[in-house]
Amino acid sequence: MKWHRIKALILRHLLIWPRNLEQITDTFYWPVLELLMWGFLTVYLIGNGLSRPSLVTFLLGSVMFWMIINQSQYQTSITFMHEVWDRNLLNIFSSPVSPWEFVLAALIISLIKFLITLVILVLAAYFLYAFNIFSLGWYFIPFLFSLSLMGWVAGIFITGLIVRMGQGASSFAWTLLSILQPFSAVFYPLSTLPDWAQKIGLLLPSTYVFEGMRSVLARGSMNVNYLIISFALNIFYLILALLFYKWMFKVAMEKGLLTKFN
Amino acid sequence: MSDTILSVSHLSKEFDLPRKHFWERFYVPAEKFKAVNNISFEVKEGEIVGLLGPNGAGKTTTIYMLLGLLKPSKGKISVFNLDFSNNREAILEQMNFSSAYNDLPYKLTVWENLYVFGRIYKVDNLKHRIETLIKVFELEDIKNQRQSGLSAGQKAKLNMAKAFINKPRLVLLDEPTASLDPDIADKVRRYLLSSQEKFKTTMLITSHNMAEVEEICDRVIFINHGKIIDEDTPEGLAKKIKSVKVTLMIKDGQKRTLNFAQKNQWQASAEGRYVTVEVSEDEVAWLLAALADKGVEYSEISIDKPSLEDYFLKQTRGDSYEMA
Repeated sequence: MKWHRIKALILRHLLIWPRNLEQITDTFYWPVLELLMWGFLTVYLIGNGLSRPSLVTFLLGSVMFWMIINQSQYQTSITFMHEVWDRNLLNIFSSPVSPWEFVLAALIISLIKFLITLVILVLAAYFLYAFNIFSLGWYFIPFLFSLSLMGWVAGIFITGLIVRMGQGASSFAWTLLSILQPFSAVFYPLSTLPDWAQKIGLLLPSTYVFEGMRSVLARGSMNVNYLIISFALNIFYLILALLFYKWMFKVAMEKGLLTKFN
Repeated sequence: MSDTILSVSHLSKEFDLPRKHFWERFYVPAEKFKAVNNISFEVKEGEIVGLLGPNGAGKTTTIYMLLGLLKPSKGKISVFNLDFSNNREAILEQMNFSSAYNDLPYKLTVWENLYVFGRIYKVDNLKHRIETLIKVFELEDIKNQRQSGLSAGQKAKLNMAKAFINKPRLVLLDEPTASLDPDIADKVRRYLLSSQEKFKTTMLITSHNMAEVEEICDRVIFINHGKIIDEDTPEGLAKKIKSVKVTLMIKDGQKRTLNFAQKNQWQASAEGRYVTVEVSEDEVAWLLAALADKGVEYSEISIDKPSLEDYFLKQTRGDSYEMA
């Protein structure tokens, strides 16, 4: 793995980023819009005495945390799609760039983009709703890292699917995480879900982060096991996702699938 | 020209043919299609080799295998005396590729595209290298334009500049001058020849422009139905066709000429006042004497020697050309 090739790929994607209207809307417009929508809903509920002020903290914290998973997954898988749309895949993979270098570049690109999104969301939430994400204290950092890890896992998995199934699988880049959202207990405790759904929720790293976040916000403390389980699951899924990605590339090379994108 | 740069040994690529219905993949064994069937060849350092054949012959599949975009079903590829399957990165660092049917990132400018690929290949003194290529391929006026705004010819020139960004030892070019106007196409050919001369750059080229292949290729590998049919210099392949085309502008006796050709079982065709008869080289004098005897009058005559294009047509159509 050569760092100069990874840097070149990052440069290529960061150069086109401000030139793509859809990228700008995906990175800034939708996340901010969603934050505004949930923010005003909480303002309305509190203003009419329908809820406690802590609801703002719960809801906005949940919205922002879900954005982290969403952005890190989306920005990872969209990196591959950009090469497809630009008909540049053959140039990339006929150069010394390896599939591993490509995926690492995609992860770093996603990290840069979602950190920028996060800064904007944090500032918007603070100035509009007086919500301070740092009220979570130091837990904020491992929460952030665990959620971005889960987004990357999903992003790598979706990239593998696109490599194998073609552009038709790109719809997963917009939909896969939405399927997991109801089971992740993003806006409500896990116990709210029916038994069968709780079992699915327990398999998701995100569930432990959201449960932990609620615990910190409500009681100021958290069972560290939440974080340990969340990271353990993430690492397990990351290994599976990387193996899947490797396998899909192997199949693509055997069947000539990369050449068919052109 | 001494060291072998590229060696292909018993290379084959088989694909599964698609089944009629998706669910058949679980119980119907796939029918196989051999795109490349046990081909072997070598390319020496500094050689320009043309890979010719009709559409679907297996040229592109072969090129994709040489670039590592496709895994061979059987056989071995060795580049710079290294086994490709175990040395992909080391080999591709010294290779490059350009296809007229490929694009570069369309939101990047000409200069940015070359800069990104230059960094991928870790080119020394990159900015100077980019400026040199921009000059060679006459991209100065458009170097700050995005790829999306370029004409087909400008895109092809940019692709070519990208293919030489890392001063590759081996370049694979898929129809390098397709969509270029004759002037720029000629400049590209001059560049390829000068790169061969100055840097001993080795090239494997596919093209449907036979005149171009005759001009720049030292050797031609003719491939059809996934197999190598022939391998020789362009002149050597053309010489394998014995017949020449004698074209006459007939003033009087067109019907007699066509009847005479038919009687001797020569291929003949008429277009306006012109009649073309295909005969072997040693029959030309006899044909002209016989027409004079029959009172055929003609005012113009041209005798065309067989070209690589004639060879190509013979191989692909199996038409009337007589092979040596």
